[in-house]
Amino acid sequence: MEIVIGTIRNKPSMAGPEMWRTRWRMHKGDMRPSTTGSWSGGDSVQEVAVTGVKERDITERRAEAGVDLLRLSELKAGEEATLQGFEAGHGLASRLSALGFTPGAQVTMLQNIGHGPLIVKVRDTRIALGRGEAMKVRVRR
Amino acid sequence: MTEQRTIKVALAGQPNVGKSTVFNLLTGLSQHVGNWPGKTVERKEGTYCHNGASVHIVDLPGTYSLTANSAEEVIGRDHIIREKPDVVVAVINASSMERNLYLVAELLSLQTPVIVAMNMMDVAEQGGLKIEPQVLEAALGVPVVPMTATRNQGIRELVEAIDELTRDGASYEPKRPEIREDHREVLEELQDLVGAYVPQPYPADWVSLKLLEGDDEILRMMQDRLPEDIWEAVHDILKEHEDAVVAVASGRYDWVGRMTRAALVRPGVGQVTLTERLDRWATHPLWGLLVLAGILGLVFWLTYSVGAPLQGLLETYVVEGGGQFAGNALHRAPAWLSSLVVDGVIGGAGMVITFIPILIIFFAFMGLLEDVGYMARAGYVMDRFMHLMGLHGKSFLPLFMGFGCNVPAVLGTRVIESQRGRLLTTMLVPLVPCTARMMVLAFFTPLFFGSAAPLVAWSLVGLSLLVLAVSGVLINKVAFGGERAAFIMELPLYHLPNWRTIGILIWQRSLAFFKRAGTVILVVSVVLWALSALPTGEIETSYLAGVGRLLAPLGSLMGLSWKMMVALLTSFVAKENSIASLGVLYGASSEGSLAQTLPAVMTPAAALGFLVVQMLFIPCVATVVSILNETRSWRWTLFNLVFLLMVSFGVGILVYQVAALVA
Repeated sequence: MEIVIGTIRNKPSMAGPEMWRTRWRMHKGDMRPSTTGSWSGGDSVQEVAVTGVKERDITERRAEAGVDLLRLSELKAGEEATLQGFEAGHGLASRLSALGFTPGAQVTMLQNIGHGPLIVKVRDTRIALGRGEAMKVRVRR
Repeated sequence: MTEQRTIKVALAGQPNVGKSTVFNLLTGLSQHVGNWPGKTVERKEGTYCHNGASVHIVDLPGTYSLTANSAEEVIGRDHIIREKPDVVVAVINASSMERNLYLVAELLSLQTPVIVAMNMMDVAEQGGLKIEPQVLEAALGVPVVPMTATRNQGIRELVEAIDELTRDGASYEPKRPEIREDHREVLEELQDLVGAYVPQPYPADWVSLKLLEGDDEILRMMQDRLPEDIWEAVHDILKEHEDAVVAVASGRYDWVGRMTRAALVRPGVGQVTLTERLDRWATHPLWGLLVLAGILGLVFWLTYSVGAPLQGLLETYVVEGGGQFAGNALHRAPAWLSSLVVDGVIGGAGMVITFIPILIIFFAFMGLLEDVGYMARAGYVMDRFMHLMGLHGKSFLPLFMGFGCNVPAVLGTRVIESQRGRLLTTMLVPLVPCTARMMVLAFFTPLFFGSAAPLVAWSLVGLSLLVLAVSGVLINKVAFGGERAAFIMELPLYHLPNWRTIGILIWQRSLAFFKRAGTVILVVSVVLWALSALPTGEIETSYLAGVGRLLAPLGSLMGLSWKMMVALLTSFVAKENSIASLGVLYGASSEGSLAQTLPAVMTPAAALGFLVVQMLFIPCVATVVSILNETRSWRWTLFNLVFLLMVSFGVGILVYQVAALVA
């Protein structure tokens, strides 16, 4: 079981202000940090802010481990995610990326009911997507 | 006398940025609407004069990018590359700058100078956005003109900017977006390979970029021109970098991000609340359907409470009144002339005139729904059902309009974004039972089926719709390879309608219909009159009857006498005509006596056959002309006619034979 304790924020260092997030993992009873994010180096002072305990669900763990990424169609209404890529033909990829679905873009699920098309928000635009099309888009929460 | 300068301007922009409002303000009623050669996409152009120059504006189709994913995008970029306008005015929506600037990024990679018209500043302000156009101008290196076209603000400044740019092009130094670092080498490699073979007037660097993006049209163009070995090399590079299209798009958005960060002083907070609140109902799978049903109910109620009486008035005063007047005026002229004018000309023209109220109401509603932003929601809610037939959700509304009258339904297919979707929907509109056909149903069914009449009538309507669904799937498979275009649709923010835009739309569409349809309907109506009157003046022995007798063998397969076949033929002018023709042919002086004569000369099975054929038959001439108008293709129009003839007779024969066996 992994417990997310909190995020560590760095004070500005000689190299400039940097921020990265560290998750403390409970591994066989003791706590160990595992770092995700970028590292800039340079001396810095760390302060730990405990934000709470959150149990991470299986999809998040799988995503972290890179086993598979979430499909856009699996997001529930209100959830946000970052776009990772497509598993689609050239035409679809071209149309979607022109509309703002590019790797790294923030995607918010607005409506996802039943088996019909769903509505997402990308770069301040509300876009309706067919379910088949949404299944070909990979995101990470 | 000074030589007048001519300036050519192309107006570009993504959908929902208010481009047509800007276009209307610039060109007013001088605008001329046609089609892009060889395509079913609407082309608008107009002119205005300023400062000694005549400025000619072409409105390019609204597209999100300039890649060959749709006919509209190819039209837009081909126009800029081949026609070489002096300026491209890119209209953007200030409240969705980030996405709109993507198209500007694409436009800047072409050589033509660009002016950015930042429209909808009022919406941005309402949403709490603070934008600094001058900062954007400095960042982009192109003129940026803030505007609120719906309030007539910024137009003058835009006109001046166009004038200034075309006078003094030297000071124009745009900051063009560069491709992302990781793909720069590949791009250069491509450019070295193909540079020498790029045809005029295409810019070599742009072509290389499009090749990298995997643009279908450019790929085809270069494949034709490149020698075998170079094409192989290019092909290998492209295969290795198949994901480049996403990388190129990302690169453009990175550039856009830098520009917007510079010019956006305070990002908006909660600007979408109203749209969000409305959409909670409008896009809900259940409530959305009810909202749609309510709106459609409103449209139809309005049409019949306002439109029908107006139609009646027009018929009494204009058509019949005109007929009487002409009759009196010609009472000393030979009988045939009087009949020609009264029955042929005025009868035909009268029909066109009575279309006016219905058309105006339909155009107004379609225009209003589109302008307010609801049309997209209707398409979203209906897509679940439409896609079973291979259609796009947006096809629902035009098809539904067909229940009132097929003519505005055909004209309404313009709301569908893809050419393919428009064509398919247009082919299917005639299968939607219009009120005229329902009138024929209402007249016949009680005569033959007594108390079961409503059941029979509704079954026939159901049959039409079933045939429609099946035909949709069939035509889609045969003509379009069966695949449905991906469902990707923007849901624009709701906003207050612009009555001027809607007004101009109604005016243009109505005018186009009357000019084209008016003449043809008149001619067909006169021809049919001639066929029914010549050579003896009696319909029984006329040419038309001759044709009817010729078709009698075919008719007998459906239990129809030659008189019924004639009635079918006359329904080409107007569906209700079949009743009138039968009246004349059977010597009935009124509908009442016809009601008594018919059951005596036809079996119920034959009546059923007749009704089935009538429902699925080729539509009235007004609809056929509208189809020709919208598709701009004789091929598709003829296909539609032949298809419907085959379907109507085929199903009619089937139904009759089965009914005759059962009865």
